[in-house]
Amino acid sequence: MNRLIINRILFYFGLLLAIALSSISQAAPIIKIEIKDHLFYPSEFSVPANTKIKLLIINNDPTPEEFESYELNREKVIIGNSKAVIFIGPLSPGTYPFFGEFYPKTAQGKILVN
Amino acid sequence: MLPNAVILILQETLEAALLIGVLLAVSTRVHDSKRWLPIALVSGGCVAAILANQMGIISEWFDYAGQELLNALFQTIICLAIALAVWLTATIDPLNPQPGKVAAFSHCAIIIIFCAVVREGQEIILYLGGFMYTENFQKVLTGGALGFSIGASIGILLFYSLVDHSGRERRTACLVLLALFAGNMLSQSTLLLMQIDWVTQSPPIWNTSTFVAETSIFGQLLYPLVGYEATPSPIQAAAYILGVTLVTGANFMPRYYPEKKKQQVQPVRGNDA
Repeated sequence: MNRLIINRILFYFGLLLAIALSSISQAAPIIKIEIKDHLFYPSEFSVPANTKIKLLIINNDPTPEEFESYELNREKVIIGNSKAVIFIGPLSPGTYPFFGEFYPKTAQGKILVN
Repeated sequence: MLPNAVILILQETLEAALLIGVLLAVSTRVHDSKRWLPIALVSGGCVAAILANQMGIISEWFDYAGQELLNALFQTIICLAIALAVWLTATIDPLNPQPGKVAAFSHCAIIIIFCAVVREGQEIILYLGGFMYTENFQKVLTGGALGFSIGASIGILLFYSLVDHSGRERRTACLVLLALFAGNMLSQSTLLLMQIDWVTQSPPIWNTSTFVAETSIFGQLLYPLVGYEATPSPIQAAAYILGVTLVTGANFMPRYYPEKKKQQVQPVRGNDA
């Protein structure tokens, strides 16, 4: 009885995982953001609505930075002189601010989705 | 520089501090030695330092998905270890604790705190490391120490407010907190999988940001405590519910499926009692 329930739970969990993994990356438009002197370049850009976007973030500073956005639900550490990839969207139209959590005073930006 | 360091380190410390507070409160029922705490803190700190040092290489794994996969793994382990720890506490007889189960509980606690410390520790180390050779290092360190102390104090406060209550109330409060923690961990791990596009993102099921903004103090406190997210996606919500169900299920299962007599007289294994 006990084992039957556990088996069933495992089965549904596996099923959920399989569905989730079946939709692995189709090619998404790439947007490049560079970090230099704790600033984002570009700090503001537009992306189309309802589209998955691949953000390629290049940190040119020697210090690490953390890309963070509450609106996008994203958070990722990018160590100094390296690059990182973050997927966002599909998003509904609106403004989505992001910031560098390690240097929030200067590292600010926003994504305009239209 | 200083206020930012306080907030950042506080945010990172809070999750582990709250977890430690609850686990310590739970373990008063189990009557184990509290040796798991220093073991987990020290080993977690060391591994966090190694991972922070190697973050450049780790980040590039699986086509720049390494960081997310590693953190998602830690979060999933935390969730499962919480469920196991809750199941153990539900089956341990507080008047006559079985040494094997008490040792197993200690091991679960080590795993939980170890993973939490590794996850948050590496971020703290990377952050502080970035200021190492700048004139601001002293300020950032002071701010960090302040943030850490506030986080630790909140954990201690939680512990004492939990042990202050009678057995039944305390057990319920601990169970609720641990279930929400587990849900939060699983939900966060799906978010990381969305970030690397291993799971497709779908539109949020609701938006409560006008109600409680994630940037507000209340939102910032709710995030580590119950995993508050203003715009969760359906998969995130499902993962949250799964985590909560796992832990509550682990608590109530022994009640409905009591162990057989044979299993109760297992040979004594651990020596952690």
